[in-house]
Amino acid sequence: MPDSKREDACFPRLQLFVLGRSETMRRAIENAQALGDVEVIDVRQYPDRAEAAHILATPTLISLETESTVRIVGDLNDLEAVRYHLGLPSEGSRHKNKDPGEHG
Amino acid sequence: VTGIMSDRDIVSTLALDRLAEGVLLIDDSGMIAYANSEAAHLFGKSLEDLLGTAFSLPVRTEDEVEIYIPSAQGRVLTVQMQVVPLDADGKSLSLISLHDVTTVIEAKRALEAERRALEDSNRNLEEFASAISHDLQQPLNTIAGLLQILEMNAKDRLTEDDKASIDSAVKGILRMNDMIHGLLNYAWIHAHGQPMEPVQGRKILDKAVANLRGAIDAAGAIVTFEPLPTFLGDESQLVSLFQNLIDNGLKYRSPDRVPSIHVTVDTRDPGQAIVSFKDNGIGIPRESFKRIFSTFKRLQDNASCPGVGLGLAICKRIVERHGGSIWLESQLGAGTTFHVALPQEMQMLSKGMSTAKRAAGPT
Repeated sequence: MPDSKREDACFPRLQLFVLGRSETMRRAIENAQALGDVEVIDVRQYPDRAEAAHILATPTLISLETESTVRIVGDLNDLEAVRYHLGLPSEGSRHKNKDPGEHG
Repeated sequence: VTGIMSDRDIVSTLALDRLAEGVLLIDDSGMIAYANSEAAHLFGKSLEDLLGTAFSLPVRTEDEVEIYIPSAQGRVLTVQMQVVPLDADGKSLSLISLHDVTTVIEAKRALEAERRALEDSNRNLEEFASAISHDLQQPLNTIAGLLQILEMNAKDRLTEDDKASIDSAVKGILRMNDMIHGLLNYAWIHAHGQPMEPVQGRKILDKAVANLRGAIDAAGAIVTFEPLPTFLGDESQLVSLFQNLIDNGLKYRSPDRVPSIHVTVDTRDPGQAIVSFKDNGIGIPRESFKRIFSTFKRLQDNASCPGVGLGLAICKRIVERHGGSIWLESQLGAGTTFHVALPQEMQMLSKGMSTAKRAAGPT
């Protein structure tokens, strides 16, 4: 399935900065994982990384692989809007192999 | 924020800076274009530091989203965030409001911890009470049984003094049994309480009087009462409350006159009824008013007065569980009146009052 492989390659590497495992955090992690591979970083465990990434609040999703750094604060419940910002095809049109850069 | 500010801008900036809510304006690339003082305060940064910093790409929120802001002191602020898109002069901006709910959440958590501790202590009390019932009552029953056997088997060899000793021992056992039961009842007021429901006052009084029938008849006492409203409470506990208060009048009766207990009701205060139990007994000295409601305090340590002094402590605990209060008036040698304020069922209020008017006077 070369198509799906190419699509996978389009997923940017994601980092999710969290703080603890509250309801909001669990929801954010779940949503972020629906977008692809995500590295979950607890700011209490890695304060240096949080500072280097200029994290103001948690949860913050960061994608470093887009043209300019994408960051989104919140529980990421509106996955469609998050996909839009990340330049990812929306869930409904994924199989149409939409150009991921279309919105970016 | 930059350039020449109009009067209107200055006014709105001043107003925003006085808000207790953090406000950010972000552009469509996620940069902070404006922050008010409270927002800077929440993030622990200066306004200059915040302006131009990337915060978040705008994702409109349906409901408030909870976010957490770690502070330098290791404290974490819990903040409710709302993102609303604005369209200002063709530029798309988003308004982010940040409402600090940390203290509310901390208070809630503290309250929850307290509630749990209370639950634990209630459970401990319950366990303690059942330990008492099993571990203390059983040997007591054994001793009582053995004493009876001893009395039967050694009947001919026992002197009058021996028999009196055995009698005292049995009385002691019965008294201790009463104490154990009293303690159990006291401990179970919270742990075994039933939910609050409307209960007719008359039903409570009838049950209490029925339970005391023997003692009332033995004392030749007269119990009279006014029409009672419908209370909001735990029926069996209210019965035990009424019973204890009437019983108190019987126990501490004056030897000089026919004991009488008159129950009156004051329903003028909506929501709560004050029930008063007036007796013509020996009275209670003023300095003992507080003491009588504490556990194991008995005023008159007289063998002729049965009971273990837990009655009024149980009454107080029951009344407190109902959110009410109990107090008394007394005149030495003339009698005592106990007043109990109890929540009454609101819907029944008008009905209860009209009944009171129709059938005035003691029944």
